[in-house]
Amino acid sequence: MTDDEQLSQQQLLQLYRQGRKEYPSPEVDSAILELARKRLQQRTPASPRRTPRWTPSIAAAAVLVIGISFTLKLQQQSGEPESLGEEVKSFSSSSPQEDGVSAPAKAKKAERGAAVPEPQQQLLAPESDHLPAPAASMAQPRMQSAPMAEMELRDQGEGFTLPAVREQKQRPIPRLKAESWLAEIEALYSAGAVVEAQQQLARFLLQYPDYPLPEAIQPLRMEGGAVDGRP
Amino acid sequence: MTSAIEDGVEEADEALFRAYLGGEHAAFATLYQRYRQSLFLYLLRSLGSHSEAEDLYHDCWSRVLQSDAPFQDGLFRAYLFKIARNLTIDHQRKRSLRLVRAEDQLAGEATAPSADRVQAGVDCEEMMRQAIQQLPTEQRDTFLLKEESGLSLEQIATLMASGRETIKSRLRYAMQRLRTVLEECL
Repeated sequence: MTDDEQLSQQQLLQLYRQGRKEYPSPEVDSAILELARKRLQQRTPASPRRTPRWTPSIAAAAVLVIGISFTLKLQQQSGEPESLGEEVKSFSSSSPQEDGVSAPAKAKKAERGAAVPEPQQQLLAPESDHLPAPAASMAQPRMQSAPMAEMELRDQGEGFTLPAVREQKQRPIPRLKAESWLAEIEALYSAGAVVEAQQQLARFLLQYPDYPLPEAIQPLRMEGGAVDGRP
Repeated sequence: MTSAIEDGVEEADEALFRAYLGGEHAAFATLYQRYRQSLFLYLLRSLGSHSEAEDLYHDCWSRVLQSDAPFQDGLFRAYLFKIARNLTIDHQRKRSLRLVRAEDQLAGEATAPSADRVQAGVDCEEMMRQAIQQLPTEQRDTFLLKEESGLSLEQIATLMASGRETIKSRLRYAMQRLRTVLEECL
C-alpha cells in the first residue's frame, strides 16, 4: 500500500467516524434497561425460602453427635480392654509428668510412635521367643500394658479414675515390671525399711532369678544372705 | 491482535455482565452504555433504516438478557455483535426484494455523486452512509464490524466463519470502493 493510499484510507476512516452521530432513541434505551430490570427480578426468586439453608447441616451434625455418643456409651458398657488401653494412653499423654515436656518433644514422640510399631505387637510377635532371657523377662510384664498403666495411675494419685480403670481395679493386680519393682525395693531400702526391702527382693529374685541387680541394693542381698536360696 | 488495554476492557465487560447476573442492575447499565452507540450504528449502517435498526437493536439486547452465560466460548463484545449480525442477516432475508430495490436506488445515487452536489456543500458524511449501503453485503459487514465492534481481524474472521485473509481482502475491497465513491470528499 502506497503512502497516498494510506493517507486516503485514513481520511476515509476519519470521514466515517465524523458521521458517527446517531444514537438509539431514549425510549429504546429505557425499554431495554427496564427489560434488564425485569429479567433480573425473574432470576431472583420472588418469595424467600421458608426453610433456612442451614437446617440440613444442623440435622447432620446432630445425628453425628448422637451416633458418636451412643457408640462411646456402648464401648464403656462392654469394657473392652482395647478401649481401656486407648483411654489410658490418652490419659497418660495428658498426665502432669508430661506437661513439662515441650511441644517439639511431644511432636517428636508422636512421630516416633507413628514410625515404630506398638510394643504389644512387637512382643506378641513370634520373634519375642528368640530374645535373651533378661530381655524376655522384661518383655513379659510389658505385655500387660493396661494394668501397668493402672499402677502408674495409682502412683500419680487417686483423684482421677476412668470408668474402665475402675473396672480393672477389681481384677487381680499383676506384678510390677522388673525395673519398677527394683526401684520400689531400692526406695524401701533407702527409706530404712530393710526387712520389707529384703522380702520384696526375695520375691523379686524368685520371679526374676537372672535379672541383674543394681549396685544400690547389692548390700541388701548380702545382708539377706541366702534370700534367693543362693550364696 | 487486541492490546492489553483492550483485553482489560473485555474482562471488564464479562465481569460487568456476571455482576448483572448476580443481581446488580447498575452493572448492566454500564455495559449497555458502553456498547450503546457502536451496536446501534452497526445495525443502522447495515440496514439503512433508523426504525428497523432500533427494532433489531432492542431484539439484540433482549437476546443477550435471555442468556445466563452468553460468552462461555468468547468475549462479550464478540457475542453481542454476533447476535446483531445474525439478526441483520435474518432481517435482510425477509425483506430481500425490498432491500434490492432500495440498494439499487441508493447505488444509483451513490456511485455517481455529482460534482454539483459536492460543490453545493452536499454532506460528505451522508455520501459516506450511502456509499456504505451500496457495498456488497460481506464487504459492508466486514467494514462495519471492524469499525464499530473494535474486534481484531482474527475475531471478525471467527465471527463470520471465514479465514483471516478473506476478511483482510474484503476489508481492502471495501476501502477501495469507498475511496472511489468518495474521492471528491477526500
